[in-house]
Amino acid sequence: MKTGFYQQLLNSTLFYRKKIGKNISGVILYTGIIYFFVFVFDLGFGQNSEEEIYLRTFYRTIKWVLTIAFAGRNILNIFNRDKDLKIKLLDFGILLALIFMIQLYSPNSRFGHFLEILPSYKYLISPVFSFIFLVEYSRNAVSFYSRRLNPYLILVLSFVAITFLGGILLSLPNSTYRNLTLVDTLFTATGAVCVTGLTVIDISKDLTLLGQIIILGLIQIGGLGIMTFAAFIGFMFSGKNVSFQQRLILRELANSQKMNDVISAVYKIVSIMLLIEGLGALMIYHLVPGELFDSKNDQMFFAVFHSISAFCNAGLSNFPEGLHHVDLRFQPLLLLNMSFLIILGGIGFPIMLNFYDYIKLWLKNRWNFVIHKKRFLHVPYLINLNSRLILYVTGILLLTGWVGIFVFEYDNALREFDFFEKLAVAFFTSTTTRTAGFGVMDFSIIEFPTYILIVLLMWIGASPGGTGGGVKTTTFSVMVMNFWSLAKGDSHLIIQNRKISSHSINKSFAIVLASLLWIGFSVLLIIYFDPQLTFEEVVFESFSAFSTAGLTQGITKGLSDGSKVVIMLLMLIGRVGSIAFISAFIFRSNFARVKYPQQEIQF
Amino acid sequence: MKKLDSFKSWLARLQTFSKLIIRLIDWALLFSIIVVILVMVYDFGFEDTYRDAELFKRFYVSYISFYTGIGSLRFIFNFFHQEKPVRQKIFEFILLILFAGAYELMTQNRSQGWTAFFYEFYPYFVFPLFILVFFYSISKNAASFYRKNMNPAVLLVLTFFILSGVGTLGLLLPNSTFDGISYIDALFTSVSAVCITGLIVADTAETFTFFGQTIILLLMQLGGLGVMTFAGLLGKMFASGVSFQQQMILKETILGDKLSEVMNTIYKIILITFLVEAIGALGIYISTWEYPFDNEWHRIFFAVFHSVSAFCNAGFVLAEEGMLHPYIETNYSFQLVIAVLFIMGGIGFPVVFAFYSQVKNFIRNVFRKIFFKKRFHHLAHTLGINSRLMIWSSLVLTITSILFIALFEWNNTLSHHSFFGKIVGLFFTAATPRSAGFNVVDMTAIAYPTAMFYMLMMWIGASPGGTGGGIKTTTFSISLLNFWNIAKGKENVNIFGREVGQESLRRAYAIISLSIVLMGLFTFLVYSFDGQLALIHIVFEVFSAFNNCGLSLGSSGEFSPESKFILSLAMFAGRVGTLTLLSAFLYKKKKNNYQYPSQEIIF
Repeated sequence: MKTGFYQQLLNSTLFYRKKIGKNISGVILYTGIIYFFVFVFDLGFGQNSEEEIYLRTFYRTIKWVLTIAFAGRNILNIFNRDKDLKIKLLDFGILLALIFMIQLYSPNSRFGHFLEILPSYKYLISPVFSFIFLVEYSRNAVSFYSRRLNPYLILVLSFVAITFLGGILLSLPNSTYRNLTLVDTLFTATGAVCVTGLTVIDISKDLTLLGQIIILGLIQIGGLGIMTFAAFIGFMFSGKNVSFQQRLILRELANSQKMNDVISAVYKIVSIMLLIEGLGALMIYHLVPGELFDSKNDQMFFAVFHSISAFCNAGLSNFPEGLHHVDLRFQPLLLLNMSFLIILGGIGFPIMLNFYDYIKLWLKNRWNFVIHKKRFLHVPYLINLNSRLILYVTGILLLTGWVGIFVFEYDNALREFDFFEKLAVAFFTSTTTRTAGFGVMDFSIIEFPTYILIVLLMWIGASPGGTGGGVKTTTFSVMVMNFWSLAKGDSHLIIQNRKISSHSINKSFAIVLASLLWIGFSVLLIIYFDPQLTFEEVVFESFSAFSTAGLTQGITKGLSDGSKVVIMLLMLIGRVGSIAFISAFIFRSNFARVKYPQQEIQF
Repeated sequence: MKKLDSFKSWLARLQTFSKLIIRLIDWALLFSIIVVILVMVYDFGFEDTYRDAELFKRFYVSYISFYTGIGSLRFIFNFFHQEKPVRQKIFEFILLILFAGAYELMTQNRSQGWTAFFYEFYPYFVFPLFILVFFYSISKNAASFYRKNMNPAVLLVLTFFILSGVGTLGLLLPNSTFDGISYIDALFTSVSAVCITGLIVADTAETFTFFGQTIILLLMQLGGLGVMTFAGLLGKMFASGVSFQQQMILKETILGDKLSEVMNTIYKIILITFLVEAIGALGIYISTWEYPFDNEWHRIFFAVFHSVSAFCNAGFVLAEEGMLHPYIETNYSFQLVIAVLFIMGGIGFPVVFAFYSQVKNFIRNVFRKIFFKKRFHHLAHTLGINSRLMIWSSLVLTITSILFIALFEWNNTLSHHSFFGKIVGLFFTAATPRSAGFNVVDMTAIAYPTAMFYMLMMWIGASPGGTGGGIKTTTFSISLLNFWNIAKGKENVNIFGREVGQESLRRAYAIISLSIVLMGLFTFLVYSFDGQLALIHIVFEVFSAFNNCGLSLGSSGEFSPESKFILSLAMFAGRVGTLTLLSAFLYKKKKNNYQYPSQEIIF
């Protein structure tokens, strides 16, 4: 009977508990917004001591508000049985951290000597605050996305919003050494968010450390956002009225059937990403010659920046002249390391997860065999068609690019390197065209065959679900296989003993067509705005922007504002995908009320 | 009863016998006409004096008597064959009468009257007759080709290949040109004429004699007819891939009638082509009334040449500087006639045919009304889905072109025309890139964006079943529709209350992707041979050649022989269709009794 009473109590207070819980998150969200603006002001402008005192007071207030809010939430959590234990623990951890911080900054703190190590209190509280607000927002984002909003609109708008935010942050006085126009900062922000790497400013000279960190953040969001968004959009799809078919697509994307698995896939993705970037940064740190930097910190920042930039296929560099710098381009090992980061970023997470499963099973089988003498457990078709396709095509394209660039540029753009460096630089260039965009070679003097090859490779781009752009390797392979099988007279498109669904073919068709039309249209506009440029340069630039590669023949800085806007749009469309871009602005309908008789069309 | 039986068996025996005879006669006729054509070519191509005129004439006369005799024999034997179509018999009878008349006129030397005129200028009357017989014999054998299970793709490729080869030889004859012509220029011109492209490397009016121009005229006409008839045939082959049941549902194949009426369709095509061209020639004849031609023949030839050139969307012009010749540049009625002709040629035969039936019906009705006081008999609208699609696409594309070109060229290349002239010029300039190739504005002076837009329009090209090139309006429209559908999230592509078949979509995709791949390849090749030219000029030229348009930014003459060869290849590939070309090598009809599981691809 006692439990019954307890249950009754819980039930009767359910309404109030929910209401209080909502209010608490409301308070946290609004505090977050205010905190954000103040924080931007704090970062962006130099403060005098009077303002500094106000800010300190403000931060302390926020600290207390948050502590109270989280204390309340933790109390509510005790009674809430539906909530996931992980989330409860997270809430509790945050509360502990906040209490610890209050302890830390109290006048008679026992941890006072810690503070002497830290240069400023801001270095500690701003990451903690940012983390808290990020968690809170992403939690609410899930419920926000669950509403019946056009998911593609959200995708596009979030890109635009982040770009504008980035542009504004880069316009802050503390971010730059010289005054940049709004178009330039927006262009830079777009280039970073869309992980393109085209830039109209010199990151190493025009941006302060703060500006560079902002760029880095934008790259990371851009690289991560696309993937999480892919999962979130998948999340959307698993609502009530989804077809079985779409569920299958989603399953393919996240390799899982349940919503929880999609979320866990997102966690996996983020952790894989951080792991690879960390390892990459470590390698770069050791491979780059230390005497190039004033301090170890600079070297470290360089390593982190390039690791993230490479993994996210952004292609931005915070070094003067980028990797083309005379002290960097003769470092084959550094270039190789970067190449692998680019390839890993570009190969896509679905395939990574797929291989993760494969390796896990293999190890498990080994383990069982050796220890328990069990038979091998064979899971059929574990490496799915997509993964196979991606692996083959990526391999072929990398090899083609490598050999092609090596052969065509042996005595031209690769003239200054010795044989092994030539091999390394050719390999690096082959990877960077898809679609990272670091320039080691001088792209303004390349031979025409290389030019065509690079444009083609940029257009094809990376693999789906990765950080790279382009029309994607799968699209390209479906395109080629389609005309090949039609010419052979096959009635279906068969790849690797699997029939490719008509929906996939049509989608690939739409992607190819749209990419060509967008690029063509942009070339037209750029030629109109900047008639002084040659056709080659404009075409190269447009392909580079659409594929979010970021290679250039050196015309980006001289573009007129009109062309810059065109390129920005092109980068955005290339990033979110032409189909998603159009879908964002039209009403989507999944219902086919009528089915018409079939009709073949004459060509 | 017995008597009847014996009569029947006797008749059957006679029929087998006569069949044999007829076949023998057919072979004899085919062989003899080939010999005659060769002699004719020799007569025209090599003899600049009428040294042996009498000898040649005697040869022709003997051939005419041979044909008349043996043809009559065949005609008599043909009576035993009830199954032969009456139309064919009538046609053969008319041929016989014409030959008999020619024999009569050629053998009697009269000094006055119109027969004397005939006696003097017999080649003008007799040779067309020979050519008619030649094609009649060829086409009869070609028809038996079709009946055999030959790959139509191979047939199409072979036909155009042979035609181009013969044309090249013809243009290389000493009498074809005033000062001789290089092999590659002859090849280029011949391919350009057969593929009804209109790119020129040698000025048609200046380089070629009357004989050479006649060869070009013939090549254009044959190319145009070949395209139209083959398109119909291939279309039917393709359409017959669907099951009988589906056919019953659709009812509408390529020309809106039954599959078995292939030959009938071809006759219709030829008839209507000649009819339209005759009317067009009349229009041109009237509009060029004031021009100072050497004699009336030249005026008529001028009219016929341009009528054919326009209807076949070739774009050859018999004037220095093409349509920019001072006489023509302001002759707006001439331009209008040309424009109407090439639009008719490009809009697709099904549309023209529907138009023709309506006009025929109208005339018949008026006739009946006047003479028999009968009521109007209305014809049902005969336009199928394909035709409606063609009309709508053409309309939308033309209007878009007019607006775009008005924006960029009104005050540029059109500035020196009167207002009416500007309107006509605008209309003409908007319609010509798809894919006629006549230019009334100075192509070297057009704005950059216009050039880009022209490339798009050339690429889209004309409607299927017509004489124009490009990927075809239907391909482009359903690819856009497909994109729109994918963006909307719909399953099927519907148009005018019909669902577009998956096969059609796949073909459209293949056509588009192949066109891009090949144009890239050709551009690459041309650029490697002629790197000194601006890329935009080369790209434009390749687009023009591959899409059989014939517009040029003015660098056709500057290409190296290698590039000319590649451009010829481009014209050829564009004309026969890349998918056709590819399947000519790859096609294997096979039937799988099993199906693979379907698989979605991620992009």
